[in-house]
Amino acid sequence: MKIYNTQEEVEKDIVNDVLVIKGDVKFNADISIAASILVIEGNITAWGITAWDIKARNITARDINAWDILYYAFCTVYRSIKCVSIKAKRGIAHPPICLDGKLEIKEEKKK
Amino acid sequence: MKIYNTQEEVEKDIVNDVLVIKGDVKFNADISIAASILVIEGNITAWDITAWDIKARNIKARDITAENITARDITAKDITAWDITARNINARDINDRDITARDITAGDINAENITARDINAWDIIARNITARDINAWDIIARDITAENITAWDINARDILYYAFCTVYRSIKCVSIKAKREIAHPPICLDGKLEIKENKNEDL
Repeated sequence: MKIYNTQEEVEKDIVNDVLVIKGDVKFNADISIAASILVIEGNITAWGITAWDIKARNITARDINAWDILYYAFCTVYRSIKCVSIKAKRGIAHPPICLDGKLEIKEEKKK
Repeated sequence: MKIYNTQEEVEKDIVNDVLVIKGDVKFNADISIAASILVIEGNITAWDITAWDIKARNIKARDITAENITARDITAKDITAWDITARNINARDINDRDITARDITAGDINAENITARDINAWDIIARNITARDINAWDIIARDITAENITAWDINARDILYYAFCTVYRSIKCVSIKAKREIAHPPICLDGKLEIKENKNEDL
């Protein structure tokens, strides 16, 4: 599992505006990046994530603020999700869960 | 770096049933000793190691058989031990009684008790599991206490999770509870949650 403990560690791994990780990834700090996150064959566990597009298997986070989110079967969030679109890839999947907050759909992608 | 090419070279350096090495050590042959290995401020790189107790900073080996292993990181194909205390274990199979580690990444884990921060595995067969996050295919256990659980199937006696318990197929258990005040009920995507009456059924 790849573990990032600081924003700086994340920024170092961004190439061409994309953070690519193979396998599970854990962000042990709030992450705010002007880039997309692509997780190949892995899940995301995170605190707060602000990013462009996010693609991963399953996502567990405190907050997510992104453009397009594509997850496999589960996207479980303790507080809120703010995004332009959110979709599950699996045929039978669970809709995104926001325990304390809500899912808010934004209208445009702002850089 | 200290390099041992034969079992005999190793045996010569054993004093009072302990092989003490300062700095990195490499074993270029299979080592089987009736003694402990203590590496001070160094790492072990080896093929197969059979010893009583092994203490080192990092251990990279093919197979490790020992009573106790204490290390920061262990990377091996197979580990057979009584107790393992480590920060990270990356192995194919771990067969032992108790595992205490911060993170465990393994193919299959068969253990009596597992105490870890995070467990990522294919199959877990255990009596008790206490962990922060568990990501697994199948879990067969008596009691599970975890922060969040994501699994293929769960068959257990009592399950206590923090906020999310998400399963692709089914959960079979005697009881299942969330610890967080606002939590989500367990989710079974393709199957169902089945509450057993008999605590020892199928375990």
